[in-house]
Amino acid sequence: MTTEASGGAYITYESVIDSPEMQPLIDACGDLATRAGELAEGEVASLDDYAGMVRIRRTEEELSRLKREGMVAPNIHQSIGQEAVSVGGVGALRRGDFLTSTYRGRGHALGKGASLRGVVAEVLHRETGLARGRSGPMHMVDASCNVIFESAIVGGAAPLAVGAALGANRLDTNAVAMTIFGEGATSQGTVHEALNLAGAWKLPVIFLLENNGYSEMTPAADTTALADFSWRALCHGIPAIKTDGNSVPAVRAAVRAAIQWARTGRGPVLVEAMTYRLTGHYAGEPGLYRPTGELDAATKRDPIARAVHELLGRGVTQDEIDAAEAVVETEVADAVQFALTSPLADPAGVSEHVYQEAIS
Amino acid sequence: MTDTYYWRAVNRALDEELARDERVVLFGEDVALPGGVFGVTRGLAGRYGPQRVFDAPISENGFVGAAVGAAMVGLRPVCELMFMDFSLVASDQIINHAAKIRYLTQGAYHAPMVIRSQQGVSPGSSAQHTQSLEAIFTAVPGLKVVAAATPADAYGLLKTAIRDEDPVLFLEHRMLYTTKGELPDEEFLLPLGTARTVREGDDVTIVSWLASVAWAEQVADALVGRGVSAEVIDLRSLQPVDYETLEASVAKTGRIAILHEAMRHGGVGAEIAATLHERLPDALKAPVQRFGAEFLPMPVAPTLQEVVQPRVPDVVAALATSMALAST
Repeated sequence: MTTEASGGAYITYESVIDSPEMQPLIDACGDLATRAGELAEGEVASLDDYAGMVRIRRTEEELSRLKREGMVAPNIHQSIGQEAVSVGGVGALRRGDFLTSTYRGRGHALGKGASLRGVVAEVLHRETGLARGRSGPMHMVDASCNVIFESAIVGGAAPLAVGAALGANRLDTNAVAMTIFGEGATSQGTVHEALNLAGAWKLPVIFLLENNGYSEMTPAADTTALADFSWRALCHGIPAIKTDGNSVPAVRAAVRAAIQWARTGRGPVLVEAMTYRLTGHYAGEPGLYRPTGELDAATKRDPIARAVHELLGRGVTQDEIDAAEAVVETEVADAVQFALTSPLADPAGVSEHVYQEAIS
Repeated sequence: MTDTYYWRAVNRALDEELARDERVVLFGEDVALPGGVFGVTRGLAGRYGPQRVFDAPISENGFVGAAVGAAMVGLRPVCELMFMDFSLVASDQIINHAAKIRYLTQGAYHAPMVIRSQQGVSPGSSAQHTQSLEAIFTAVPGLKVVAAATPADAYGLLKTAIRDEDPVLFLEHRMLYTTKGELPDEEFLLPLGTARTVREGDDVTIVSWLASVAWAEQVADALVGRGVSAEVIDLRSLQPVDYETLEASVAKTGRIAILHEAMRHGGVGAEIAATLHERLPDALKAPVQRFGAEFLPMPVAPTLQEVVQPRVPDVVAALATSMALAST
């Protein structure tokens, strides 16, 4: 890795890139990109993909409306514009695979199969919520589909996925663990520690980096000297691939390539999905920091509009699209109605589930 | 019954639990090949192999978080923090994650894991390698905190902690590793949440844990010469606290002092003192007395460490004053 020069040894770019130690990593990135390309070949968004994205968006919109109407106490960090990651990326997992995510994670949980009624009821502080109204919009959990935790500490859930993969490995279940985090979280030590641990222990972890352009309210480019966030993985010896996070087929293919890699014992992979958050950091946050024209340009890349365009392009009719949307509308309306008619979180149970034994 | 080193009692507990339950895994810095910086885990990597006992990078927050995730999906991780001071690096995963999993998931998941660490002052140890930090973690709902002062307690409590369904912070003490005590040859478990009466007495109760239990016994010895019979209680469980045992003792003695190695300011003793005053306004003949280290970072020079730590003669003198004993 070092080159002798007058005055001592120093590192050159070529000595790193061309070193025999670096080649397997470069090759792995190439293999993954090739595999993702094969998997994406000829794939287009399906009507189910479209419906899945609309389901997440309409849920987020309804929750934001209910927030404005005073039905939700905390802020709601929406994922509008990022639905293709949840449908394509998370949707590529098996039910038995583990997922950890962030406080912007309702879409991720729904992509994994979490109960829509449970999600909405949780946000609306209901006893019928996924966590009986104790956890709120930032922490979706559903043991029926292994959504094991969503953390409100940026980067906090990444080590948990390493642990879940360790468990899968030692208990011989052949499951993989995915952790989703934003590009902002890649500045956190926990994410680097998780990457390093997964690499050192060669565990089946999919690090799905959902790059939505903003680290909360700070432009991503202002948070690092690095030109490309996916390189974060390379310094830990972990291969990385990038994908179009606004295209369900693209992100699905990339994540499937990563899953195949990890499930066959070749270690962790980072997938960077390039997307864009079309709303504020939280519902009602005006996004004054965005450069003029950026939002308009991003809206033209809206993953749902793109899916519609693809569907129409391959002969699906507008009526079929409308029918799919109507089914989702009904389902979301049902979930909202279910939540609003459910009892609020019951103070009688406030001290339950702190320890296994009841607190005396 | 064998006279056994404290470290060996911990080692035996880990060995037996690794043998008993395949879900138990042990990891931390230097625990596998080197056998631990204090040798506590020696031999275990060889016996159970790298799938069960393995080294972690110097990455406390990361590997404690990995223990949380592993525990949530079915393993029984035991991870080691080399020094309790390093728990502060891992505090996000301990406090924000391990302790909150059961509540935030309303029991859908829980984190049955043990974080072993050791704390306390040894001659020449520095401000970042001496802190008794139990007060921070006993203030976190969802965590249990255990402190073992004897080989038998270290053995019996650690085995129970590994089988417990909640995250347990298991505190050992560096200066106790090479102390000896009786350890029965047959397997046994000790329940969490119970204090141990070290010696019975009638006039004053002295509560302590870890290395300061021995100091409490020295105080009790010194008081014998003043005609005072002191009861010594090793609290053993710092969260939850066995108030039943404390209250029964105070009902008998009417006086109680808390002696701990941690700083008196903000120590666990403060919480216990306040609670006892609230619960036993009539049984107490005098205010609860607290003894602990000065509110200072721990200096390295042993001559300075001595004046920062609580000292037995000072405790004896203070108790004598409060009990209005004639000076001898």
